[in-house]
Amino acid sequence: MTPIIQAQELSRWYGIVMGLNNVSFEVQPGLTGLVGPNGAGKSTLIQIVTGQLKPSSGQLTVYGERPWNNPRLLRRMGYCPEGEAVPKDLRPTDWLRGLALLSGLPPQEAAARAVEVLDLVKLAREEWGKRMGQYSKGMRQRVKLGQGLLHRPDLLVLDEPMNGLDPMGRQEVARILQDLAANGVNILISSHILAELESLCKNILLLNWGRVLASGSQKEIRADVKNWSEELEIECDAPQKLVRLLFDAGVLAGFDLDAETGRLRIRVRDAQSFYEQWTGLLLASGAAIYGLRGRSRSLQNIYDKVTA
Amino acid sequence: MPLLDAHYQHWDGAHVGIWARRWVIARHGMGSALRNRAMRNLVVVCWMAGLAMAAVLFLIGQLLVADSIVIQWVGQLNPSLQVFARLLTSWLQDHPEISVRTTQNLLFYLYCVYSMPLSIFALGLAMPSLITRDLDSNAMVIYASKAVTRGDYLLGKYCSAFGLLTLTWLGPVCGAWLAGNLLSPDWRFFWHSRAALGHALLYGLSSMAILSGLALGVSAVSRREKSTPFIWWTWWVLGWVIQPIALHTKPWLRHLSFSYDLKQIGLASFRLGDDLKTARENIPMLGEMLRNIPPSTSYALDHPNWGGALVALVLMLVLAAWIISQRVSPE
Repeated sequence: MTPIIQAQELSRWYGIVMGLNNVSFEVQPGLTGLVGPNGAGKSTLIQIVTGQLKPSSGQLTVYGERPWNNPRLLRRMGYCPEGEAVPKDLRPTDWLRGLALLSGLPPQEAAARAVEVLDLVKLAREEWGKRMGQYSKGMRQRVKLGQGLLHRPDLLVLDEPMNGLDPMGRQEVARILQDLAANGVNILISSHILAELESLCKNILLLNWGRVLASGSQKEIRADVKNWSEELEIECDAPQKLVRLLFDAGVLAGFDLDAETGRLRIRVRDAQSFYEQWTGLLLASGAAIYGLRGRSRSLQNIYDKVTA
Repeated sequence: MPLLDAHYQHWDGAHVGIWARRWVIARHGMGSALRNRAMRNLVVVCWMAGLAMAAVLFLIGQLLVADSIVIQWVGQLNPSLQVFARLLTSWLQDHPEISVRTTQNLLFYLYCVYSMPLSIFALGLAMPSLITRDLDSNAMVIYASKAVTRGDYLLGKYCSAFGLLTLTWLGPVCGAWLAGNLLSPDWRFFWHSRAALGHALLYGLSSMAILSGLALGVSAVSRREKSTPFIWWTWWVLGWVIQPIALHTKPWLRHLSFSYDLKQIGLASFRLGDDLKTARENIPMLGEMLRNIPPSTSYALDHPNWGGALVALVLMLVLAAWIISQRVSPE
């Protein structure tokens, strides 16, 4: 499959602050989640993808073209920025019609699309006559999402689109995005809340400190981290003896021992190798085990680990 | 049931051209400014002044007809005035080119210079709809994500300022020129008044271009809707205050006032000194009266300080461009 976005050694500095640090990745068609904590570089990356920012070095292409100063490419893209970006003195239909015209749609099509997308994002019709300054944040968020869909883009880029929406609104937006993706629209969506994207996106791009920590399908990312430390919490009668044995066997990456409760938390180097030796080591230690809890390898755990 | 029509199709129809898209921005800026009642009233006032100018041109045209209603009406008012009017008429009939050119030139100059405050005030009212409001709402990010560059956006906004000035400034002049000459007794008035119209266009277009650029710069200074009109009007009023003070201290300070600088450009464009000289030398009686104009006024008309004014205006435009580049910068 031909990737829709390709980045090679892409960097972006803000003075001495680094927004993106020499990243290379590919985004495949479909619904892709861009995840990372605040300050990870998500918005910088999205701004480069949508032609708002110029890379300091390296290269990024969307559909094989550089987005910077490229209106022809922007015509194929829709963008919903993170912050408030809706003029308060206008009615949504007027604003959307104007934006559709800016995207190059003929006047009749522009007017029709303005109405269509307002229905699509489920903005109640009785609200259409009001100026957007009177809207709640959630309503403005819907209009903002709608403007990105006006010109029927091939690629929709959404920066934290769920912000300001109530739980029902989030569900509705998620359904809209799934329907769009099912209809062939490629979507790049960012969030600092992984749970929002885990169920929505097939592909994930995980960012932190301006670096790409993992990219690909959720399955691939899980497979990628098979060698990462696994955490286990053990309750036993001889934690000190057990941890010494595990340490000598070279399977531990680290441990914490709570002196009061005797609870041992270990981090293993290689999960597969650890579990192969685990039964033998446990028998050798002679410790009586009261409890054993492993932390699952969900994306959230991976995210927590790599962004810690 | 899917929320979206399952037959989603990417738009692959014909797209409108870039100038149509720029026009959308310009039209939106103008429309937004004209939603203000005060702005609409100002436009009406300016066009009323244009109508008055057309009426004056009509009356002047009537002076070139020996038995016109105007001459008869003047005769009914005062018989001796009628003699003067007939004398003037006979002279005007002999020199239609000079009379038409001079009167229209003077009239257009007076309108352009004395209606400038209205246009400057109008730009202050329009200030939020230029860039300020887009900075405030951050909608510029969205505009920039559409199929227009920031250059297109700025060009559109520039055109909306220019368009508003056309409504309040050059539009009434051109309207008066057209209506006044259509109502004139002789079609050749169109030809005789070409220089006056040319001067008005030269001055009007250049001033509007400069003012639009300056207004765009000021509108980008702040994202607060009340701040940018205040800054614009304060700059203008301070310029007025500085002029008489600077005249007796440091004359170059007068160039900090853009309205002073534009007036100098106006004097240079309309060449009123030449018209004054022509009138003094050729028009009977009126020429004698014009000899009593104070030498300082006469000197100011003959020697406008347009060089210094031009330099000052260019520096102001550079400053405005720098502000815009900082505030509307894509990065």
